[in-house]
Amino acid sequence: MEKKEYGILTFEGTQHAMKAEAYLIKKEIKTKTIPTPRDITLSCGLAIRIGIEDIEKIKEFYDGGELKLKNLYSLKESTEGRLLKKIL
Amino acid sequence: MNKKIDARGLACPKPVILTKKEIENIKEGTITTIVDNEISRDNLSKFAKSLELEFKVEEDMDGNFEVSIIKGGGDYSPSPKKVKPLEKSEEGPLIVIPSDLMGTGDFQLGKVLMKSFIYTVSETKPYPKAILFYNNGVKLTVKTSPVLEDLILLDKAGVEIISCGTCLDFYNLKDELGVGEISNMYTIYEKMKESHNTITIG
Repeated sequence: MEKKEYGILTFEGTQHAMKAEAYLIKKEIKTKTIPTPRDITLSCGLAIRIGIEDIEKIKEFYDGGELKLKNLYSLKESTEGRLLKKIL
Repeated sequence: MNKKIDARGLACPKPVILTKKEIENIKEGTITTIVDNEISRDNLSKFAKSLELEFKVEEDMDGNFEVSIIKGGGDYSPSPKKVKPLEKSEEGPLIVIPSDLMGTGDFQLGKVLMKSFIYTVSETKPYPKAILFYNNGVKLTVKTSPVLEDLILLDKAGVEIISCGTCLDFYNLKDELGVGEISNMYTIYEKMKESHNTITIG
């Protein structure tokens, strides 16, 4: 398996996740709506996965108050397993 | 006994129905069906395969296809029956998707849940044997589908992605298919009938 890196956004609730998805699509960020990974427990069921290259943009939107999220993680998947890091 | 059926100009699944009738009527011989499109050609091939009958496909000068299905007897010796290995624990379910929304309720929520569901399927093994899409469900297998990527991944892994041709046609999406194959009610029912583990998501 090749190494894959993503950003994972979690939210306070489903409505927030859906709003964030619409917002990010408008900002032309490639998103994928996924069930929140089981190793991130305390959040709503839906999360948004983005490419690792867009993490900085997410931070900007968050700092600018345009994007509401609960947490932002980076996720590395490789043959050795999953490495989850909390960024925000 | 050999017979020719001219099924040009007939819409799916008519050619298969006509061929099926003739095959059932004869003990042995060759039924040749002439069709004018690739979908009918493929459906006839699939039909022959499902009966484990030998068949051949030829294309003529005008772009028509002649599908000849050979039934028993004569100098034709049936190939030894393939024995499918039983891997019960490994066998994935059949997933049936009649809608592009998951559950009834809010439209936007239904869309998001469906995306999340298909993603989860693509991340979970064993993969399903097949996924059937009909009615609004076919909006998930077209090029503009929000889950196209996941379905392509599943398709490449050997999962049969089957869209109802009648439905694609009804919604004017026949040229927009982005993944898998087009099929008819025979295949849909066959898949359901064969499966001992069917999950319907709508």
